[in-house]
Order: sequence, then structure tokens, then C-alpha cells
Amino acid sequence: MGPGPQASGFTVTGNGADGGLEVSGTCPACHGWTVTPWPYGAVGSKGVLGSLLGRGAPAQEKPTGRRTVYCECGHLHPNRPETAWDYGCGAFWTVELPA
Amino acid sequence: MSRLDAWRWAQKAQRLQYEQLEITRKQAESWRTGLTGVTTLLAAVLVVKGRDGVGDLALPYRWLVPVLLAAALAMLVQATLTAVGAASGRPSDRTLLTGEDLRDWTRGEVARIERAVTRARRLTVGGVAAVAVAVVASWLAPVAAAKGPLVVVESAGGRLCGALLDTSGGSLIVKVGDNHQLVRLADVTRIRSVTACSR
Repeated sequence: MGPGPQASGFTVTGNGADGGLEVSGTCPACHGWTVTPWPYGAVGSKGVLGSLLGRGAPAQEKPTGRRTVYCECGHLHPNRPETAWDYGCGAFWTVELPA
Repeated sequence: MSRLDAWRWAQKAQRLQYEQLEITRKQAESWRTGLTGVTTLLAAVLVVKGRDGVGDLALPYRWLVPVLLAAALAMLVQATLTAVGAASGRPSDRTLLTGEDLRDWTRGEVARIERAVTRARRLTVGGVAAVAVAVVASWLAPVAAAKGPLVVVESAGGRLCGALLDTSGGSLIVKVGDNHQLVRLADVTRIRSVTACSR
């Protein structure tokens, strides 16, 4: 469905004040410009007692390693997967986060 | 994780970005309901506390019943909060919305919820059992022996203040502190009731 790990060609930058990230670059499949935001979002809990005692969520560690990116060039290409939710060609690959 | 799984997780994580308000609103509603339940626990535990007062129970039941009720309330409150936490999570917890981070968080959360439900179940059983024991104890525990009236006895030998217990062999028996004192009736010049003995 798409290319594998992309060693280069993508830029990972900070995204706003919440410490999130944004990856941008050229889709290796359709060559369209794609930008994917990765903010921090609410998803759930780490325990009740901790919240009562004032122990908040653990400090955010700097994310490292590979993350999956899919094409969000904004164009619905032919042969795009029917179940795809995004607006892109359907290709996906991985990008190494900067250390 | 297969490549297709990675793509699915990445898509799910991206969708979450646009559902933040719904997620946090739903968490707030669940917490509101749960916290209301905590408030009603207080009334529920006190309603089933048994007899009206435990002050007239013999020791150690006079202290055992309130301690059991307090422990029951603490266990039931913790059980409720644990269950709400398992059901709705905490809005302040955040994770990077990438497929890999969401997948790792989901795995950890599933294990945490399983532990939380087990803990909530044990706490609930313990709390209900403590209430039951407290109620039974409040009904069946012996009542403290009634004390005699406090009196001041003035006699030729001096002045005594204590609980009037009995007369025997021509003497009054007065309990002063932990000691029983005998005062010859013939020597008594005055007996008057008091509400407390000065120390």
C-alpha cells in the first residue's frame, strides 16, 4: 500500500504550546505535500487515587523512535483504500523522530 | 505490529484529534455522576448504622462500631472512585496522538482497567461487610453497666465524692475512682447529689 521507512525528506517540528509535533514532507507515493499534526490529546486515566492526592499525569517524555505517517496531501487519488478516513493517496510510511 | 495495523492505529489517533471535546465532556459527565454517588454513600452508610446511638455500648464496642463505619465509608468511597476512574478515565491525562503512542497507551490502559475493576470489587465487598458487622455489633453488643448516682457524702471522717453503690453492714458503699470506700451510716452527716466530682 505504500513505501516503508523514510530515512529522510521529512521534517518533524514542534506543534503549538502543548509539546506536540508536526511532520511534513513530500509523499513518497503521490509526491503531494503532506502535513500531519501530532498534538497531545485526552485519552484516559492513570488512576483515581493519584488524581486525588494531586499527583498529575507523569511528565511527558520526549517521544523517540519511529511513527507511522500516512499521506494527507488533500487529494483523493484513484485506487485509494475504501476504508481510508484521510484525504490522501492511501500511502503510509514511517518517519524517525529526531533525537 | 503489522504494517496495516500501524496504518489503522495512525488513522484512529488522527481521528481522536477531532473528538477531544466529546471525550472530555463524556469524562466530565461520568465523573459528575460518580462524585454524586460518593456523596450519597455518606447518607447510605449512616442510615443503616443500626441503633440510634452507640455511646451507651460497653467497651470496646463503643469504639468498634464507629471505626467499622468509618472504614466502610472509606472503602466504599475508594471503590466508587476507582470504578469511575476505570469507566471514564481522567481528563488531565494526555498522550501524543500518533498510532504507536495510542497503541501503547491502549495496552497499558486495558491492563489498568482490569486491575481497577478487581480492586473496586474487593473494596465494595469489604465496605459492605464492614457496615454489616457494625450494624450487627451495634444491636448485639452489651450495654455498659449503669453507674450509680454521683453523690457527695459528708461524715465525721471527711468528705467523699463518688458513685453511690449500695449499703451493707451499716455502711454506705461509695465508688471513688476505681476504689470502693465504706462510710459508716452512723457517721454520715449529709448526702447530696452532684452532677460531677471535682478533681
